[in-house]
Amino acid sequence: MSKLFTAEIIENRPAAKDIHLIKLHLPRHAMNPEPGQFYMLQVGLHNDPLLKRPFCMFDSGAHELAILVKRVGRGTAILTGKLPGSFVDVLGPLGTPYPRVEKEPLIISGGMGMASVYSLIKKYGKGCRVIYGAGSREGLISLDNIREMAGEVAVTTDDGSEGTRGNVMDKIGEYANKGSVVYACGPEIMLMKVSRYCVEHEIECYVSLEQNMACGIGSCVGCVVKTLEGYKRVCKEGPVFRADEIVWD
Amino acid sequence: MRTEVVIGKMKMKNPVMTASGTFGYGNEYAEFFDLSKLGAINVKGISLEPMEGNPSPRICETPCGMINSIGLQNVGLEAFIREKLSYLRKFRTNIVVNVLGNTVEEYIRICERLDEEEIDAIELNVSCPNVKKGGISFGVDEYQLAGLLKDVRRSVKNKTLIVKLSPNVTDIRVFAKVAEEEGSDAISLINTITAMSIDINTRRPKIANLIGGLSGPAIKPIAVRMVWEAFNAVKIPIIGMGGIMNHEDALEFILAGASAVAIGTANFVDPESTMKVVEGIGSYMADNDIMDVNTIIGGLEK
Ligand SMILES: Cc1cc2nc3c(=O)[nH]c(=O)nc-3n(C[C@H](O)[C@H](O)[C@H](O)COP(=O)(O)OP(=O)(O)OC[C@H]3O[C@@H](n4cnc5c(N)ncnc54)[C@H](O)[C@@H]3O)c2cc1C
Ligand SMILES: Cc1cc2nc3c(=O)[nH]c(=O)nc-3n(C[C@H](O)[C@H](O)[C@H](O)COP(=O)(O)O)c2cc1C
Ligand code: FES
Repeated sequence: MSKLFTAEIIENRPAAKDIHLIKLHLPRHAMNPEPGQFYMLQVGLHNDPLLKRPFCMFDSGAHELAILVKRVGRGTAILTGKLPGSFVDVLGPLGTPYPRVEKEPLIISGGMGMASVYSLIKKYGKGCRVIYGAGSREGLISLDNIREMAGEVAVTTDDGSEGTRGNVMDKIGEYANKGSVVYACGPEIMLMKVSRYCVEHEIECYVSLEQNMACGIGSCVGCVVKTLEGYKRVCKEGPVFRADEIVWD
Repeated sequence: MRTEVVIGKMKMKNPVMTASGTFGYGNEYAEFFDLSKLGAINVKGISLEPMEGNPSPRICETPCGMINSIGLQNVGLEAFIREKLSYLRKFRTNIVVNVLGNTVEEYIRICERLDEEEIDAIELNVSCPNVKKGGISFGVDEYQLAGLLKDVRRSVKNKTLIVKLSPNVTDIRVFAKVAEEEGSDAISLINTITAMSIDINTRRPKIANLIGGLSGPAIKPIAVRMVWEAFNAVKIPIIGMGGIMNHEDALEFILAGASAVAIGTANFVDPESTMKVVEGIGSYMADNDIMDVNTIIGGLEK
């Protein structure tokens, strides 16, 4: 089964400020993406924009793939403006998913990180706990669903408009312990802090990272991060890495 | 219909190959199509010792193109021979090994070793800085290039020797002639064009190394012009590349004088690009009653 196919956009609606939820109908089957994996979407026509853009699997069904897209530049502006009924070329699923570990899952999401961990929360359900941080209430996508799915949810916002005022680091001490396995996705600075905390407290932790990508399949070596074993490709060995192998600058 | 072309000692079943550094060591593409359909596979540049490469970000997109500064990350000569070559040999196609060095001696050692291996051609990437000459790259100084080729030619006895020309020169014809005079079997062009891009919000360069190489459709007209100029300056075969996205682009290069074409950045956009170009050239030949692809090489009507 080729990872390269054309998919129809069946839904495209705003989910929050500058963020759209886009649902795609996959021609064959969903090819069972696992939480943490991503797809590359060709948003341009005639080589403009040229390269495919990477997006996490947010949710998936038998013939369906949902992604959450934040408008940050030209490619995401084009994609969020596409109408249902239009088609896009897709490559995926790609990358290494969050590994299953026989410990108590604690899932930490900051902002758009929910695009990556939503499906993980769905997978573990009541068996997992969640720390969900955002700038303000408007940035807390799918909060009601997450409260319904997860065992326990702690919410933080920078402005205090929902949950505790502050950020996810203010809650991590209360929720993480040696019996936990932490899965985190969010801004790089948050991932760095979560990683350092977990390494220091000897808590197993996995983080999902981002880099500019060209191919998504490991051939260009353009998407690397520095690890203790040298540079590794985010699209192939990642995007999920063990927190203790990343070298943060 | 004959699609076979000859580059030095290398017979290619069709004029399509991959461009170095854009096809890994082949394995990532084998799940998309049968690599035996290609005229040749050109692998990521190989150096004597493994190279770690540059820090991130290594790539950024620009209008109809991309800038890269991978920093020639590769597994090194011995690991390539041990771990990658036997895999590539499984496919019925030619293997071209792109090599790079920081000194003339390094190029010679790599070439001597590869000359005894089961490969078909050696392509010299001369866009690397010569550390003994203040880091000026071999490919932009005709005297340095001539010196390098004199020594390297002696160490490549069994394989086809290809010199990959840098476009970052005033007159490509001068370098094409140097390659021909020093006994190179073929030339390939163009390598990436040095380029730079800045994020105005952070005021930082978009790639960590500041300067990188521009590739993709943005450079195609420049590449076609250089192939045409080189074609009129030398008799050795030319492998044309630079922004080829489909068979129409490939045919432009062939009409300008390329005996074969290489596909680079397009492999990132669509992993099946090379195969589609092979098929497209076949359809074009059928539609235009072309019995032999060799009859249209340099077939530009003026
Ligand atoms: C594995 C992976 C998964 C991703 N998942 C999602 C997702 O689920 N939802 C989502 O909205 N975004 C996701 N991203 C980020 C998304 O791919 C980029 O925002 C997008 O490629 C930007 O394209 P553009 O043309 O709009 O922006 P450009 O015009 O290319 O750039 C505009 C701005 O976006 C930044 N940017 C560009 N590419 C990236 C990138 N890869 N990562 C971070 N910032 C970038 C640039 O630095 C620039 O400041 C993911 C990235 C990766 C690597
Ligand atoms: C990511 C990347 C890596 C490359 N690595 C090499 C290399 O190792 N050696 C080399 O001679 N050329 C290298 N090139 C240059 C290509 O082989 C080719 O000459 C150039 O990209 C122009 O073709 P294109 O526009 O089809 O990509 C690289 C290009 C890219 C984009
Ligand atoms: S995007 Fe090309 S190697 Fe990761």
